[in-house]
Amino acid sequence: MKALFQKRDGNGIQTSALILACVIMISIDAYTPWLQFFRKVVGAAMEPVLIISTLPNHAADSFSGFFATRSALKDEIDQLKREILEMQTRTQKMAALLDENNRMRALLGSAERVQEKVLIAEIIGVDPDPNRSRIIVDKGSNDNVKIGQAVIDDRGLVGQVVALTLGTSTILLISDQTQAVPVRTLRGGLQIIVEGGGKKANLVGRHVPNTADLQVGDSLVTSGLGQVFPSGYPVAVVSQFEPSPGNPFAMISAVPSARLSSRSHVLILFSAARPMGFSGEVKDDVN
Amino acid sequence: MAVDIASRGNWVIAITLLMALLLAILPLHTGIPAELGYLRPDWLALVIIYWTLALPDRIGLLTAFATGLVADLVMGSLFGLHALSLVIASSFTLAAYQQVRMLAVWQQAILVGVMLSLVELVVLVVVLLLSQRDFSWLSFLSPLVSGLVWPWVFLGLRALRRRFIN
Repeated sequence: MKALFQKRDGNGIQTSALILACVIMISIDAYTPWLQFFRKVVGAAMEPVLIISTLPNHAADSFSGFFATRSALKDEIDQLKREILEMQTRTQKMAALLDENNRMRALLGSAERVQEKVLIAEIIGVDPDPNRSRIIVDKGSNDNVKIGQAVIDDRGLVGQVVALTLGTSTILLISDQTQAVPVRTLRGGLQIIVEGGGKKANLVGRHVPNTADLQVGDSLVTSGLGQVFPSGYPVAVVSQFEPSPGNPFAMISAVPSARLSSRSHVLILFSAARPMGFSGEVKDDVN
Repeated sequence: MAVDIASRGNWVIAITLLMALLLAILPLHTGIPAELGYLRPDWLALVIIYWTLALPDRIGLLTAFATGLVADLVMGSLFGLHALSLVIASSFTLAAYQQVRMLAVWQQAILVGVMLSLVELVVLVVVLLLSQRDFSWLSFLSPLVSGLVWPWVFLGLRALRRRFIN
């Protein structure tokens, strides 16, 4: 048995070596993609941990569901049936509208809009770092998910895929401060860029001129510029527009349309739409 | 016999580290504002510090390093970030373990809080240098909460240690 008061030697060297190793790895991960393959494969082994971490919340949900009264459930079913009926009525016209839209685009010489395919994914993890807004879902490279794909929910744009493992993907939410989304207003077609506000829940508009034609309540949809997010998906609704005479740009806040704090499902978009040039010719992009 | 006890002890330590990891990534319930995430204690650091204090021969820098790397893989942070903070915490603990062991639990709690604040500062500097990300002073609430939680971590893990290892 070692003497009770023996100091541990050689600590300093080992500590410095490990710290140096950490700093090197952090830099490699931050500036190069070399570690991405490693994360992708080894990260797949971490999936069980993520799934276990969601169990308490699922248990809490089913626990409260267990106690829901029969009449409450019946009310909920009735309301859902009403909503389905409303939506079916609206989609009846959609086929006709799509067709008319495509014919008019053909007249203008623009290419047809192709419908995107979606893949439903369940959220299995949330980034615990409060300075970041990212979620982890249960579809990965095994399901043909690729980095850069846009992700939506039933209300609007959620974010884009930024990292993959074999069975999971990490999605950067639009509310993360490193994410910027090119949008346009539904009303007038004004093109701006909104960025995540990070700690603030709302999105922030950058470089919007004081004289812009923008009002509180305007819907912002993806403009498709930058060819990251397919165009036409709701992103946010303007909640504040304050032109500031002293500064060149106005202050804009917008509330995201998607339910970013939801914990259930999202839809990953497989964009079959090919990006178009401004003159309307189709560029073939084999994805 | 000594080998049996040693390997069983390692399982217990591994399980406590896994539980700490799960607690660290546990998603907040919907309806709870994300800001409360700043109040999360650093469970991994607390568990590593305890085992380093209790069994400095067995649990040291390499354990901290490996645990940190696993945490980075699970949490998707920059590879090596959690490893860095756990190695620093572990090295501080190893340097002073004999004195820290002598202190009362509440005194240890203060030390833990201060140490983890320093570690948080280092991590903050590294992250700021590398990503120009907006940071929040609220991040420093977490080490304080960790310090507050330390007595319970200490007592709980000590009970486990006495039951399974000694």
